[in-house]
Amino acid sequence: MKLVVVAALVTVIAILGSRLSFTRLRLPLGLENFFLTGTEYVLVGLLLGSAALDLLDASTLQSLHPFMGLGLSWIGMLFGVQWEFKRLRRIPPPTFAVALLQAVVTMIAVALPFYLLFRRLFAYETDIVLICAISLAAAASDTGQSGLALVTRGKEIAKKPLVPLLQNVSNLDGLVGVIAFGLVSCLAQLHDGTPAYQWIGISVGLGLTVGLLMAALTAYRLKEEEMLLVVIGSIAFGGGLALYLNLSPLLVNLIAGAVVANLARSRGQAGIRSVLLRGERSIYVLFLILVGAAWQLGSLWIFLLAFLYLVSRIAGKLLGGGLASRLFLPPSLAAGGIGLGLLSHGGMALAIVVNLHQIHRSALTDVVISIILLGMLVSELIGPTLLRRTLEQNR
Amino acid sequence: MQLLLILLYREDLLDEVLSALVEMEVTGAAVLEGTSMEQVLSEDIPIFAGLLQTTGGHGQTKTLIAPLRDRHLLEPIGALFKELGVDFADPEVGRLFSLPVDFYRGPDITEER
Repeated sequence: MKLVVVAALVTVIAILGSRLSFTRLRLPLGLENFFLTGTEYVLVGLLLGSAALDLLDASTLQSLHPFMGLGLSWIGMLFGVQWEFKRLRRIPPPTFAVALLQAVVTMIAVALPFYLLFRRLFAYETDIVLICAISLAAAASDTGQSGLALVTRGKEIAKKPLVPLLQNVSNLDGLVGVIAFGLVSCLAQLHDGTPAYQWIGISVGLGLTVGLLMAALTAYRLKEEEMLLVVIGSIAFGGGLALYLNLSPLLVNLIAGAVVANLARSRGQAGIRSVLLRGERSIYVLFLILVGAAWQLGSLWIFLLAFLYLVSRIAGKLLGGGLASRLFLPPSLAAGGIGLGLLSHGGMALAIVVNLHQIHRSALTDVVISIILLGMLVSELIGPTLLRRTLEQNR
Repeated sequence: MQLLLILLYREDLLDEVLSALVEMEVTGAAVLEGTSMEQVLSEDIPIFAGLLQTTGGHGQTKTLIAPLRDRHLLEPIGALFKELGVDFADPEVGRLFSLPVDFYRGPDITEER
């Protein structure tokens, strides 16, 4: 009974929250970004969780896992349907190289110290430590778009030539994290010793199958409710099977989404995108609440780890952004690098750690979630100010 | 002679609109891509779908412009649209209107039928 009541309560909060939040408030820049990204729902979750009201206790959260799996699949597919090659040609080619390089450098800058640190602090197998360190790094590589929108919309600074570049980079770099996480979720440790390449093949095959199935089904003219049924059925099938096999529903559905974007008829594509976009905010709010409820701060050492995470992420973004600017951009565009303009945390970071929690649960994954949440809170507060400074220095 | 203008807010209905025009022997239409006024003014911050916004995959409108030889064709075209599920009475579907043309140079469309 408690489960039904709590599920209904969380759903109502998610639906209302998606309509009432994500709006601009007249607050200092960092705080405005905090509310604009809906980050306050992590605190709502914390309040509903075992830390305070205990409505969302551990067993209730466990029972809500299928919802989380459906949410992950939804996000993966929504991210995937954007990758229509015909439309991507509108983005200048160097932008892809910049996005890729800065994301990879950030991943290395975060993964390396945390792999060494986790090995010293936790007595888990090497593969589990590696999976957690790479998941943390994958989440770190993603950049949010809220900070840029907040700093530029309706303002003179929006005309700076760096703005479209930062916008595109923050839109593209989530791909690196999702693929990296999808690949580590195939490691043998999570699959009773079966070689990783088999599970990579299964992930790709499953994604292609779901994508082709959707493209075939939407070739017919469908009513809105039929389209909703096709989308929910497909993501439940792909995501459910991925979770059952301990794979990443994010990656499987991203592949399916990309297949839809490139092979489905334009009518089907538009219908699927429309359905997916309608659920984007509600699902994100739901994630924020459930992650907040599952958040266990543990010891005060977490704050030190979160600080180290912030330092290594900022170092990675600065180094990666600087290197990418030097290699792929004209000096007139980004002489001072772009790293400080990419500090906002994206929603994909949250999706990656939720996915990690679904495929492997331990004290180490709790630590990873805490680090990401603390990192997100601080990044949302400082990101816009540093971004504005980067843009002001840009001629 | 009329200039037929269709502002289509739902991209997924483009095939139906074009099929109906072909069926009514309205040819030579141009399809233009645009962005809806709401999308331009929107302060929505994308969470996962920023790429759709920047590459024009969402919030786009299609504008169709076609020469129409006879204004009496407007009623049957509207009826055919509705039959195919393109109901312009629904504000989310789009707008359909025509303007009189006082100058035209091109193939003689009055003899097409």
